Parts: sequence; C-alpha cells; structure tokens
Amino acid sequence: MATDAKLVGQSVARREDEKLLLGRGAFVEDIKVPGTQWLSLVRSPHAHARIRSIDTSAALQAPGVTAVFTGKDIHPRFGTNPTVPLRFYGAESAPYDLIAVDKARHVGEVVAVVVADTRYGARDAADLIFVDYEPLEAAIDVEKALRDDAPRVHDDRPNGIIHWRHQLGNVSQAFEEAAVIVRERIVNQKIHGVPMEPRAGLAHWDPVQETMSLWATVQTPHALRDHLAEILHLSSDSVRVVAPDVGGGFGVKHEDPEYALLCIASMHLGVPVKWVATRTEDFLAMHQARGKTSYLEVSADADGKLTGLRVRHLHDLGAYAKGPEPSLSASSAMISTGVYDIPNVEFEVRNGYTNTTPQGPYRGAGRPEGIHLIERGLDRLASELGLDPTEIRRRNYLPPFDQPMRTGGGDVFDSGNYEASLDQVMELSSYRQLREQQQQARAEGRHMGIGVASWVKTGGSGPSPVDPSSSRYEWGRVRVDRGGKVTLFTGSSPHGQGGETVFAQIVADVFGISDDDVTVLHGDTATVAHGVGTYGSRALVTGGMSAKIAAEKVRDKMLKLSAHMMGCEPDHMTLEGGVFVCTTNRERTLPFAEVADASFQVLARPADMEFGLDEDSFYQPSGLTYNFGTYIAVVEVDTETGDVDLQRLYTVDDQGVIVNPMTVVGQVHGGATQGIGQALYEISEYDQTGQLLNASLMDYAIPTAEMTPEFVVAFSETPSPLNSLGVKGMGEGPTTGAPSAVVNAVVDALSPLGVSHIEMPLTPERVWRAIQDAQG
Amino acid sequence: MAESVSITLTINGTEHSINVEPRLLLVHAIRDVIGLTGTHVGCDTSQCGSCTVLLNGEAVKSCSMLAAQADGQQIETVEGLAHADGTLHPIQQAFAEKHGLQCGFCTPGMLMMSKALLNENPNPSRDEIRHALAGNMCRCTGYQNIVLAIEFAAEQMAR
Repeated sequence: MATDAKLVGQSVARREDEKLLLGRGAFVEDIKVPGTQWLSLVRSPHAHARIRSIDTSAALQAPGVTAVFTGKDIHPRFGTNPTVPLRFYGAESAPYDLIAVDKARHVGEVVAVVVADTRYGARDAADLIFVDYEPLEAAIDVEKALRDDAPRVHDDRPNGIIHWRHQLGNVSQAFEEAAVIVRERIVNQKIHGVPMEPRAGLAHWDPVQETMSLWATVQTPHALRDHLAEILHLSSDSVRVVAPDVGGGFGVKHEDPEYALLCIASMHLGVPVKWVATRTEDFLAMHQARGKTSYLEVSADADGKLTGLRVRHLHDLGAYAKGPEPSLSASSAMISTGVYDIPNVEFEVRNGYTNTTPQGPYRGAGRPEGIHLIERGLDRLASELGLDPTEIRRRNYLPPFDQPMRTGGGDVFDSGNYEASLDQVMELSSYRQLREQQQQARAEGRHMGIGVASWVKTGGSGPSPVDPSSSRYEWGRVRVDRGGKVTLFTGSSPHGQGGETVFAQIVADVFGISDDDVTVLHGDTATVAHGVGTYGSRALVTGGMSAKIAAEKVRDKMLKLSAHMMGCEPDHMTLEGGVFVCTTNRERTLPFAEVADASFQVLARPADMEFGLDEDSFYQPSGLTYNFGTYIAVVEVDTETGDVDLQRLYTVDDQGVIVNPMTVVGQVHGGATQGIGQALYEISEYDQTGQLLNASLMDYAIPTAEMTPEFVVAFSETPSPLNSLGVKGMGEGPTTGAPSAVVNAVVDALSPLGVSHIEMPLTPERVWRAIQDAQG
Repeated sequence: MAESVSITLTINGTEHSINVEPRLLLVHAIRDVIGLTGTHVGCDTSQCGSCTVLLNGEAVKSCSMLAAQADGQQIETVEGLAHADGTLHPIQQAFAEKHGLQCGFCTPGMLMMSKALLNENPNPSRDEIRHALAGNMCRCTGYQNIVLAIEFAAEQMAR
C-alpha cells in the first residue's frame, strides 16, 4: 500500500470507468424496487392560462391507475416550493406551487399527476385528464415584460423583481472624455443544459418508520433532502436522498418540484413510485439558462486604455424565481469587467418574470454572459482604434497578482496572470502565422477569421461577494478501519467529473499510501451526513479541501498514537510512504495498519486519546477562486450560405494546481464544446404565445462530433492563495471563454464586409443576414 | 392494452421468450422486461443514440423500433461486449485509456456504434469516425477523446 510518489498531479486512471463501460452503472432508471408504480405528469400546453376546472374522472377509471391528484388536492398540505430567499435584495419571490392551482404560468408547468401500475399505463391515463383553460396574454420577452403595461405573470405583483446597482468612479465623465465609445445591445440567448440522462426519480415511503427515500439524478442530494424535508413536514434525518450514477448535470439538476410530487405520491399510496422524464419534458420544465438582454457601453482613450464601462442587464427569470438564479444576474454584471483594469464602472441589473420556463444556473452561471459583453466590447474598440485584438487586451490586463484583489466590478479575485495566458495561447496557435494566413486567405477571396477572448470564472463557491448570507461549505469525513483501509465520505457529489478518482488522489497523498487503499463514498445522505454538492466549479476546492483537512486530522492523530506506541517524541514522528518512522531512530517503524488497529485497543493508546480514527471537516473557503484563460478560435465563413466552419480552438486554462491532468483536459474539451454550442447552434426558441418551438433533440441542436473542431489545449498553473491545495476549480471556464472567442472570430472574418456584431447563435441564416445588412 | 404478443429475442447469445404489449419499444423490452439496464434512453426521438444496440450486427436505435419487430433476431448490447472472462473489449479499454467517457450515460451507445463502425471499416479516418458518430450525442467529452479512443481501438484490434 505504501508509495512515495505523489499522486496529485498525475493522470491517475478513473476508478469510475469500468462499471460504466460494462453497462453496469446504476442510474436512477436502472434501480428497481419490487412493487414500483409509475408517475406521469400532465403539463400545461399554454404559457399563461387560468385553470377553470380539471376533470380527472376518466383517468381515475383507466386500467391500473392508482392515484390522480391536482394542485387543489395537495394544497395547502404540501402546497409550495420553499421560496428563494431574496432578503438581501430587499425582495420577496412569488409563491411557486408544486402543481399549478389557479393559473399556469409557462408551457410545461405541472397541472396534474397520475400514478399507475405501468409506465405506459400512467402515460395513457395522463392523456385522459381534461383541463379547461382560459388562455391569457403572455409576457414572453423580458424587455417587454418589464414594461408597466405588460401582462402580469403573478397577478399580485409587477413582473420586475430585484433592481441591483453597482457604481465605481464616474462613468458619465469617463464617456465625455473618451476617445472612443462603443455601444451595443447584446442578447445572451436562452439555452438548455441538456445532460444526456434526463431527470428521473424513485421515491419510496416507509410507512412504519415514517421515512422517505428518494433516488434522484441531482448534483446536490443534501440540498434536495433539506428541500423535501421542508415540503413534506419531516425532519431532514427522516429523508434520505441518493444521487447514484448521475448522467451529467452542468448546473441544471437540482431541487425540482417533480421530486416532491414523487414523494407525495409514494406517501399517499404507500408504494415506491418512479418517474423518468421524456426529453421534451426536460426541455419544457427543467430550468433554462443565460437569458439576458444587455446594453453595453464601453469607452477607451486614444491609446486603447479602457476608461469606462456601463452595463444594463435585463435578466429573464422565467415564471418563478428558482435556486440562486436572481443573485446570479448581479454576479454576471460584476464579472463583466473581465480581467481588465477599468476605473469607472456602472451596473444596473433588473430581473423580470416572464411566462417561460424558469431559469437557473447552467455551466458558467451568469459569467459567460458578463464576459461576452466585455470581450465583444474590446474587439469593437480595437476595430475602431485600428489595434490588433491581442494588443488592446494586453494594454488593459490587470497586472499579475498572487494575493486577493478587488476588481472594478466588485469581485475579489484570488490570483491571476493574464498577460502570460495571452502570450501562451499566441505561441500555441502561432498567432502571427495565423494572421499571415488570414491575409493570404483574404487575397484568395476566402473569409478566415481569428477570435481572441480572455476570461475569468468564479470557482470554489463559498461566500458570495454579492450576498454574504449565501455562504457555502463542504463536508468531508475520513475514517480508517482496523485494517488500515481509508474511506472518504464527501458531501461533494460528482457526476462525470471524475471526483472519486481525484479525491482519492488527495487523501492518499496525505497518508502517503496508494489510492487503491482509499474508498470514496458520496451521493447518499444516509452514508454522508452533511454536504452541499457539486456545482459552480466548487467540488475540487471545497470537496477536495474538506477531504484533505479531515485526512490530515486523522494523520495527525496517528502520528501522536504511533509516537506513544514507540516511545518516540511526537515531534520526531513522520509518516513516510505509509509507514510511521521515528526520525531520531530510523530503525523504529510501524506499519500503517498496525497503528490503525492500535487506535481501537485500550492499552495501546495514550489515556487521553479517544478510540478510533474518524475525523471530519466542514471546510468554509475564505473567498471565491477565479480560474482564467485565453482562447483563440479559427474559423472560415462561407459568405454565400452564412455557414461557419470552426476549424480549431486553441485554449489556455489556468485553474491553479492541477490534480489530474487527464480529467482537466476532458473538462476543457467538454466545456468548450458546450460554449461552441451557445456560440453557433443552441437557442431556446419561443414564439410570441410562449410555445417552445424546439423542445426535442430533433429540433434543438447540441453539438455532435461533426459540429465540433479540433481542440489544442494547454495549461498554466497559478496557485490559489486561498487553499493549501492551491486549486481553483475549472469546469466552467471553457463555457465562459469559448463563446466569445468563436463570435469574435466570425466577426473578424466578416469585418472587411462591414459586419461589426452578430448575435448568438451564429446560425447560417443569422450570419447571412448580417452580411446582407452590412452590405446594405 | 390487454393484448400481448409472444416474441423471442436473442440477446448477447441468450434466448429470451417473452410476452409483450405490441407497442412496447425494444429498449423497454431490453431494460424493463429482460433487465439489461446498460442500454439507455436519452431523447425518445432517435437523435442521441444512447440506446444504440446491434441488431444482426448493425447499429440500430432501440428506442425507435418495437420489440415485436425484433422477434427472432440477434441483439447485442453493451453487456455483451466484454470477453467471457471479464476482460474488457479493446473498444472499452480504449475509451478508458483515452478518457472517452465522463458521466458514462451515452457511453454504451457510443461503444456499440464504435463496434458497428469498426466491423464495417476496421481502419477509419478521424473524419470517418466523426461522421459515424453523427447519431450519437455526448454532452460531456466534446468528442475529441472519443475519436481518439476509436482510433486507438482500431489500432489495437488490427494487431
């Protein structure tokens, strides 16, 4: 078991892989409990409609049906989702019923629930429920929804909620004195997370113990446990949530109302009840993201030095405030100063309800929108001033720093070295040669474009810089059994990232043992007492640190115990390659397992030492981490059709210390592909009545293998000063950096034709129209 | 839906005689009736390919055909890919080696599609691999490592 080689920094093969490759993964739908019945949901076909009546009689008589219930049936006993706390913003969110009672507020909102003994039978019966709707005028576009005369999503309050401002210096004066100002209305379109495994849940009420077990495909089992306990009027310890193998999350798998409905059905019937969403259900009712209309104004002096930034963000909440979403609109504005020194800043953020699917976080959680504004703005300024896009960035980067520093936007960055990142990606891409090739291509009548984007993304979510009340921890517990085998219980909940492998590397290094001797348990609130979960590029920082600290506590206890056993001074004990050594007499050693066993023996221990080796840590980061990087995209545009050929994406990511290089490369490839999806293909397309026009994978384009470029990836490692691992988290950097690099490349390709901006996604039609408009 | 049909499916070499509703999808027969849950459903509309199985050696989407249509035919699922002694098939090994999977939900479909491709074209170019994967979506990996894995598997299998 002993090893001297450090595992942190090595591409340790993933322990997750084998079962998944053999088809032996246990995703929620794969879990079978005898006697399970199936739940099916009736969802509103209208974006905004009064529910006059619901006739469930035919469904109740259908074969195999065991229960049908509506919002009125469960209200007020289980009524609503816990409201999102918005006290910090001086606001209060509108009630969010588990099932719509009087009014449906978006297409896909649940209006009735059916349970039957078979999957197909439940679906058949759902089709027999007749709902009498009175359709109402809907508020679809957030900009219109915020006007006084807009239809009200919630009758008792205006659509506008949360009006947040931030100011630094004097932007008006900066604009008056500026050599150049760029103004643009930029839409970050609504998109979907689309994890390949749709949502699913299996609820099992035990009427004797009065406990609820729920298997659910979520990123945050403990948060869901607490959420359900509140809805079901149970203690948290009476609710067990298990997130088994989870088929991707990306920010969209959280505390959805469907899980509470499953639990209510199981409690009512006293049998296990299962629900597996269709892909269309997920498009209609799983939260969507981005959804911002923004007004950007940015100024520079004649040398291209940024002097002022004004951002007005109009953020579409959808029909209900969900999770942390409202606060992310402020975070989004704050990060729009990017990695640059901007002395005068003004932000105004408004959130508005609309009759669309609620919005929530998705890989990047507001930051891709903020970064897109400044990265588009910089390219526009460079173009006005005749500067290369790399040159204007170089003139404005914050200088290198290794201790926390407050930005103009109000974030407190932990460490950064932004110009070095640009240099590295310019070398990686042979940038000068790319520009020469572009000249050549233009001479041949081809439209090649090169796009640059520098980005920064929050990670390690602990205390929010906007709302200090939102502090988050992570919990880890390390136990060593009598045989010397180590188990980590982590509140982090990996779902594809390779967390089991990576956490084992960290814990093994603390003891100097092989990672094969470390078991990692997660995702089950019955096994892991506390936890916050995996989102916001936080798992490595918070899960990794809580694991490390808990392991260090156990190690320190073992050092003390082994010193006692050998009669060595505690200060002279070391743990070398899994063996305890007394440094004043190196002949004297004790194997790891012997010390572990001794911890349970009465006579081996010092009198004041408790039995066992079992320690935990609630790790609370002192601030957020900020990973960063610079990307360069190379495209060629067919101006006849508007088709964009994205040829290569060069990436330099800095995520602090790298624990497992292989998985980090995987995060860049996957994240950048999602960013490319936003740039080129993806949009949640609503018509004016609030119908989602592309609610299936037949109509909504996530990138396929032929739609993605070759990635050329490299890394730098600027350690975070905030934690002893020096890590920052990194999963969301690529979705933050890739969209702007790609859009900037396309606009660069078309700038000789007079194109200065195109809205995402850059579909052939949009690109073609932009060319036609520019050509007059 | 009281009526049912009797069908026989040979899955990974084992014959299963079952009674199913005529409308039962093949993927639900494989997962819910026979109990092999490695084959997944990701979209219901035949785009994502998570449900890909081999039917008489050819890749099909088992969410888009009826169990009854597969009566009497040979089906191979991800559970049949590894060797009888438990060692991984070279395609499975290559996916692990090249980090061609993250959450693993699309992986069974990717593996079966890869097998169908390599049966037909033992030495595909990267473009040919990407083209063959047009009906298999992955949201985690960005495909590059999947392409490398299939290329690597082809090399290993040619040895």
